[in-house]
Amino acid sequence: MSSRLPRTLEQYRNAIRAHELSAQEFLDETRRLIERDDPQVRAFLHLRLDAARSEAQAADPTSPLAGAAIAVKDNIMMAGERCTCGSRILEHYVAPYSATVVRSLLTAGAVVPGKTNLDEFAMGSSTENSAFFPTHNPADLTRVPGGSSGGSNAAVAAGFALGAIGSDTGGSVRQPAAFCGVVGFKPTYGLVSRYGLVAFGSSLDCIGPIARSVRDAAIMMNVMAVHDPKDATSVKRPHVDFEAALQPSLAGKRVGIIRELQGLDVQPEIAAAMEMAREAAEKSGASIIEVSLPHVLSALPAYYIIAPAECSANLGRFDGVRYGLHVNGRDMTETYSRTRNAGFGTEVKRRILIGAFVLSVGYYDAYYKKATDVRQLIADELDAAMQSADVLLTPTTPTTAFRIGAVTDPLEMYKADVFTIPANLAGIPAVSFPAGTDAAGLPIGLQLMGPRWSDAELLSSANVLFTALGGES
Amino acid sequence: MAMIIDKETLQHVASLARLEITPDEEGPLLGDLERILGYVAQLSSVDTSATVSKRPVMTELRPDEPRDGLTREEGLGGAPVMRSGFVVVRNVMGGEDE
Repeated sequence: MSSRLPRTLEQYRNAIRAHELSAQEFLDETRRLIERDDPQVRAFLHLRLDAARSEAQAADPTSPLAGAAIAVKDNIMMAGERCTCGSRILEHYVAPYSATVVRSLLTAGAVVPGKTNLDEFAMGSSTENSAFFPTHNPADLTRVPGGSSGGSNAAVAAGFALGAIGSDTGGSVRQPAAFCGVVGFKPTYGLVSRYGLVAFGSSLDCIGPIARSVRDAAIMMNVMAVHDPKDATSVKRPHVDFEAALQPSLAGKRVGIIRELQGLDVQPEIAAAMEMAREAAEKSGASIIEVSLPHVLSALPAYYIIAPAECSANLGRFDGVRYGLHVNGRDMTETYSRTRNAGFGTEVKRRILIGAFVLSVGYYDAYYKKATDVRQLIADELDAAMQSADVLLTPTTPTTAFRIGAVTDPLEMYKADVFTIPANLAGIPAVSFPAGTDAAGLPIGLQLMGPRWSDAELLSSANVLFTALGGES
Repeated sequence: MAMIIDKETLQHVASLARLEITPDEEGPLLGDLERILGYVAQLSSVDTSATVSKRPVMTELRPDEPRDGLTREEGLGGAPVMRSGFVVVRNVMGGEDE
């Protein structure tokens, strides 16, 4: 084996094609790393390393992913494997089929080393809401990896996988990517099939890749962006080669800065990283313009009405009858409520209750209807801003990773999503990429958003900034 | 300031959601929900009277057509209690379970 192990999916693919490395050898290295470090990081809920090894052995070295290990968030189904969603209510649930995106990855030669930890039903921003255990940030084990896809992001950051997939309802791929120092991409709503993703907020949920470089995210998107009749929201689009679309510069691009977000309190090092990214963009031929989104700060309250409303409807299916935990009561109604009470954790209950409240008679118009109107307003403003800017640049998060246990107030936790939520409300693509570290050595992430279906161009712009700020090309 | 959510409303909403609120959960939950609902209620000051959708936020759904899906065994394989290909539930019409 070559003395220098590949760090990225691209380097891995090249090493496999050049016969410098076999998929099996690399997986054995990965296994050593997982066995040494995962007892501290705790990225995985379940491992399947023996199965992955035989699959790697059988993988076609000329296939797009050639036996590369891709970790899967445990709310995305893989046939025959448990799918717990980080919840007691699905602790022993075994998936009867694979998500379309998992099938696509496997067909392209990927192997799955394990299913990764998450905030219960993807509700949270720290992975502390997992019913099983918290995941630790590989950059500093005393800190959270972010959430809800904390396990997938920590796995990629720690070298337990060359890539991972997660779900992003309000920032759950991008916020932990920023905290862990990796790339996280939320595609345009409708570009990647959600068939086999356990639904949280159906009008918001997207599946996206998590990777060590923007190019790796593009390589994964080439496999993941497939039209799927099994997902009613999947949209048939002309074929795009995301990797081939990566351009070397930002010549002629207009990078927008959002006026209304500039007054927000962000950590000084993150503000400095924004400044560096602006300079790098200009140096690469882009022009910087200011755009106005008058209602962007209403995105957070609108989201915390719409997402709980959709979650309360989606989680109605967990009734102790068709799957999952079952706790007997005196009658059917008590059986439902006992099962749900025993199976759901505090944050999930909180969100179900908020959702049931905002949808209930007497409150629907004032809360839910109002939030959907505000959502439309924000989506229209974003569309208008994208007429004058090709991409919008923001921080991904107001701070770097916080300490485990440091944020106990749910409302404070929600506010970590202020920059990521607008893209979910509008269904537009957004990517978080690493942009240096703060004084404590913790990763900083910046975000680019683009118009709907500009996914390939958006990744190209992100790749230019990511490499200009020191990332691997 | 008037409370947005009181004990009775909480218990009503919990019964709609088929969740039991235990006495020691009630206080902290009421506090959390009051603060969260108070925070999201700031939307009432946003003027949405002139909002005209320029495009639907969600994509258009494909027609809902029946297709082959899971087999009965696959679909029911996760049920906690099964008998002869059926899910067993408590008696919902009153009276004793079988």
